[in-house]
Amino acid sequence: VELEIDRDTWQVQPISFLTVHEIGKAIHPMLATGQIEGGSAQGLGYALLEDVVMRDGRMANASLTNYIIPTTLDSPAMKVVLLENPYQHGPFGAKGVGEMPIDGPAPAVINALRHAGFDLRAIPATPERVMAADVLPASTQRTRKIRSKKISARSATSAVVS
Amino acid sequence: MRFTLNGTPRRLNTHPMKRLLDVLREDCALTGTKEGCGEGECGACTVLVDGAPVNSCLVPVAQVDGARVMTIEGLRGRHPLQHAFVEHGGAQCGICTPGMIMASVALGKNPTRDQMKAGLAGNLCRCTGYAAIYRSIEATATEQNKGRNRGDRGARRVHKSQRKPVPSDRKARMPRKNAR
Repeated sequence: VELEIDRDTWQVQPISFLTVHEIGKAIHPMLATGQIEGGSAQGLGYALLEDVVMRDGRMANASLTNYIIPTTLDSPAMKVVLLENPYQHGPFGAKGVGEMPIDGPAPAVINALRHAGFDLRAIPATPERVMAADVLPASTQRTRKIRSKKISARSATSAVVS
Repeated sequence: MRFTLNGTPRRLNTHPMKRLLDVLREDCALTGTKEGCGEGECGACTVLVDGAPVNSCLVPVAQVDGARVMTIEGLRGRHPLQHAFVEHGGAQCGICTPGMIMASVALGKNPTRDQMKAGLAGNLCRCTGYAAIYRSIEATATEQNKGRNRGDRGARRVHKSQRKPVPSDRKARMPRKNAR
């Protein structure tokens, strides 16, 4: 995943996303790709936006107004690679694909932020948390500032194997 | 209450503050328009009012008096976008699809990726991650440029009540066929 962090608002914007999935045999590659893209977008929401607030055992933000899920503007360009390796115990050589794509994005996003010097240990990486996690020494801060107003961060997506 | 629904003039006797969404689904029995959140966040209930996409859950029916309303049924299953959403995986679970297609219709022809992103920012989709939706819209543009997909004639057919009157002076200036 490739991210951009705004130094004024501390908002993290995903720029590009690459994911490789070993899913046995892809029975319907177009739908499998769509499923992985959708799951990855959910995973990015989980990593950056979706904050469940519990109050008295209930979800306090149980509406789309305050539980923010990714829109078109929050979803980056995605590249999906299907790694086919037919699985002899699965139907027609297939493995599951439905739920797994959500697993990779959050570790990838947090790794990218940590590479860029943010000591983040929780998700979602909201602007408040990112600002609080900015712990790089002042010398490094200066070089970072000179480069651009926006900090870019990168990490390898965690490999997901079902 | 009078308005034009999918090209046909309709006259309804209903509560003026009833949501357009409920009027469409209950009074007009057009259940293609979906209710998602009911509070204007998700865009599942998008319909076109005078060509502009609106959240029908936020519009009291009194506001469309005299307007042209177009729902997903108005595309009659023959619009190239509907075909492309099926072909290119733009629809997965389907709850966002009618609203997504209506918002895409409002984008016009050959939108860029940025125009799609801006134009569909009010339509939430949880399944596709939006990429397949962009591909479907792009495929529609490509097909149209190739001159295929003539199946959308029905969608463009305009009811006579909606046709713009030709100004009389222009009518006079238009040469008749075979007139020499």
